[in-house]
Amino acid sequence: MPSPEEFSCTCDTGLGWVFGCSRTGAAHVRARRPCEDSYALWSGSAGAQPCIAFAIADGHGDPRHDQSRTGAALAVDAGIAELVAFHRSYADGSIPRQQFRAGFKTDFPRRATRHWRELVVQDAGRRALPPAPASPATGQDQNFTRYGTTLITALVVHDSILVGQIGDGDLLLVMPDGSIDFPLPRDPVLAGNETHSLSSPDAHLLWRTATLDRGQGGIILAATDGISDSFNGAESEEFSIFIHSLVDRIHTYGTEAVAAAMGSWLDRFSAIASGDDMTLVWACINPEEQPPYEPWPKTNAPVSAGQGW
Amino acid sequence: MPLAAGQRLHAEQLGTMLHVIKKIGEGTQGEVYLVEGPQGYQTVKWYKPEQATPDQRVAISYLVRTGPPYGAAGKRFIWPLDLVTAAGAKQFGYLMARIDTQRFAELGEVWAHLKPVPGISALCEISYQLANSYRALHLSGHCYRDISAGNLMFDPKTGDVLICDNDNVGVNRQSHSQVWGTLEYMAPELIREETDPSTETDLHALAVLLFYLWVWHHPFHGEMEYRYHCWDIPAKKQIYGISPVFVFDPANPKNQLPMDPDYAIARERWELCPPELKAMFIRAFTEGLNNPGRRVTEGEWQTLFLSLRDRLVPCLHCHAENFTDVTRPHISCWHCHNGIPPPPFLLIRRPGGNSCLALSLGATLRSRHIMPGAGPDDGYQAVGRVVPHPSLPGAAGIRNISESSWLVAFPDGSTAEVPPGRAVPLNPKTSITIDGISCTIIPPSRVFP
Repeated sequence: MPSPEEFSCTCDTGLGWVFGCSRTGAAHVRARRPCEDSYALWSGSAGAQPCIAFAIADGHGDPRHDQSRTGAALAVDAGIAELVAFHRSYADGSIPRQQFRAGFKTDFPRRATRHWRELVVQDAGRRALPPAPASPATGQDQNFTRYGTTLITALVVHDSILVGQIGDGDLLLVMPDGSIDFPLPRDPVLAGNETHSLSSPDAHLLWRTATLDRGQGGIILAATDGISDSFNGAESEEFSIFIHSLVDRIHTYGTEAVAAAMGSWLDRFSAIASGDDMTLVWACINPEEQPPYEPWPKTNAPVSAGQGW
Repeated sequence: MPLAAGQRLHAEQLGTMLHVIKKIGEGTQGEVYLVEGPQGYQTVKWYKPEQATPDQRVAISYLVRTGPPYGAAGKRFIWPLDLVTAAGAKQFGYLMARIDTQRFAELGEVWAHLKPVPGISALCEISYQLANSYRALHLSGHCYRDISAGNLMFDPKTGDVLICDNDNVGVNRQSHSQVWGTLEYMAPELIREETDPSTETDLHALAVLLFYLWVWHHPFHGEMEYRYHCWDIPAKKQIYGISPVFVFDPANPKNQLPMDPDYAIARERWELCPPELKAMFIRAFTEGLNNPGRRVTEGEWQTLFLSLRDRLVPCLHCHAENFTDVTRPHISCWHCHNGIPPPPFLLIRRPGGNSCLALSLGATLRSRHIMPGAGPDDGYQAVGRVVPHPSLPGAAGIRNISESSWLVAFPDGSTAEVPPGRAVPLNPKTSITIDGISCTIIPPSRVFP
């Protein structure tokens, strides 16, 4: 888990770059509470197929969710682990894209949720948290509730971008022409400003997922709700202006310069607006490449060892 | 090459021009655009270059030429209306009707609480309409080849169904397809590569889809799947194709549901399924797994869901819908656990077999109850409806809302003609003759259909 005071970056030269930055909210600083957001970035390859994965989580933070800071950290760990495992499981390249994408929608929410629960059980055992009674309403172990968190994940591979989200927060795609697309439907509004959670008994059903073509590339942004709340919501004109100005600065000053300045920008937004923790991950995705150089001969002639290398 | 806003497209058979408004979605085979033409707003699926093959073009042209199945069952298919091309483009697409995505939901949207959860009667209706439409498709000599929740949309309130992505439809056991279905829905013999997609493999996929609709779970996701740390393609082939075991197989507990929160909802929803439905799923996923001839047919599904819907009564306390059980006079509400007084039933004696309709307030007698399978509206025309007595609290009657009079024989032996607009009191042993079909009002304990 990166320190909230730092930014992290990871890259794959073929796919693009991804950056993340997390800041403790002004209200949390005043109340001497830690940052309850978390994020994780990963790049690598399996079967010579590169991928970028990132995850961002927002622990719920109220007294019922007193372990939610850890819950958020475990959520991004589980999210990245399952994204990478998913990528590996399809990395031999022979799986039709339809199966790959359908598999993400049907399997990833279930696997990521289960992985998070396993990590929570391990953590609660390691830290010897007293066992919590089962919820009278759901029969579920309430230790999961103590770790409650949201989670947003994204996986970028050769031809596809796969995204999933449970709970609030924002995930958006800025296309090369500047248009902004929200590939996932908005989180349904729940009573009392609550949100869906990985700790819900039906969490594996509450995910929203989408699969996109990598196509012409673009910039994917994932943010905890503290950021869009500072701009009157993700669909407000102010938030759109912020996103466009961010993209302009990335193009003008370069990604590293923007990444270095992001922490202070987020601090200012939190101080003058929502006061909440703020975490932002953005991935600059290169346009999809044409099919790579074909090292094998097109003919059916047998290839002997060393030939063609 | 994607389409651009304002680009002009040509509908080949209709000979009309279409203007691209905007992209509204994308899938694995292509992108979907909102277009405007002489018929107003419609949509075009535009194939990606690798999918825009000569074979696919021939397949779309064939579907445009043949049209969807006849009647109400066919209208649920978002069928290709015309082949669409663009000047200078090697790709092509097809024109189809526009879907009202505010009204119609995907199952995943219901799970994520983005759209309302369909009630039990709506669920019966969705299931009936699915079976009815696939029956019509199969009767026309075609198979769908990609039945899955991803291709289904439904109105959570009314249960009306739309079946999307019909470009994979082909002639049963003859035409080839670029799509072999979604692994979770593929019949075991298809996964084992022993056969091509057919109406028989469609029946397996239909059963999986119905199980998803009712239980919100995959029929083979149990202990065996739970133990796989790496859920890759070989693991899936093992679970879905090589050694599939139904999670509720009464004779084989090897793959029962693990005691994990992920499986609690499936366990609860299974318990809410009526015994007839459970029996049908058990047959589909035990005998039907390796013996395609024992799979539950679309006709069996549609008969079951019609009869289940006819047995629904609302709880007087919480209004939750409950299945009445003709073998037990007393039932408890699944939601609030209060007792539900059983309503009288209408026993309908038809030449093809008897059926029962629970006569709770609002229950509707339709033309299909009297003349099964009749009419282009699929027998949906209301003939009678149970209404409260205008002045006697607790009393109810069945009102004639057809266009012809009913002949009624009362328990005291007297008879009367009940014209449209008038009602018959729900007194046991009252017989009503509607279009020559004899119906009798009887208390639940007397029902032996």
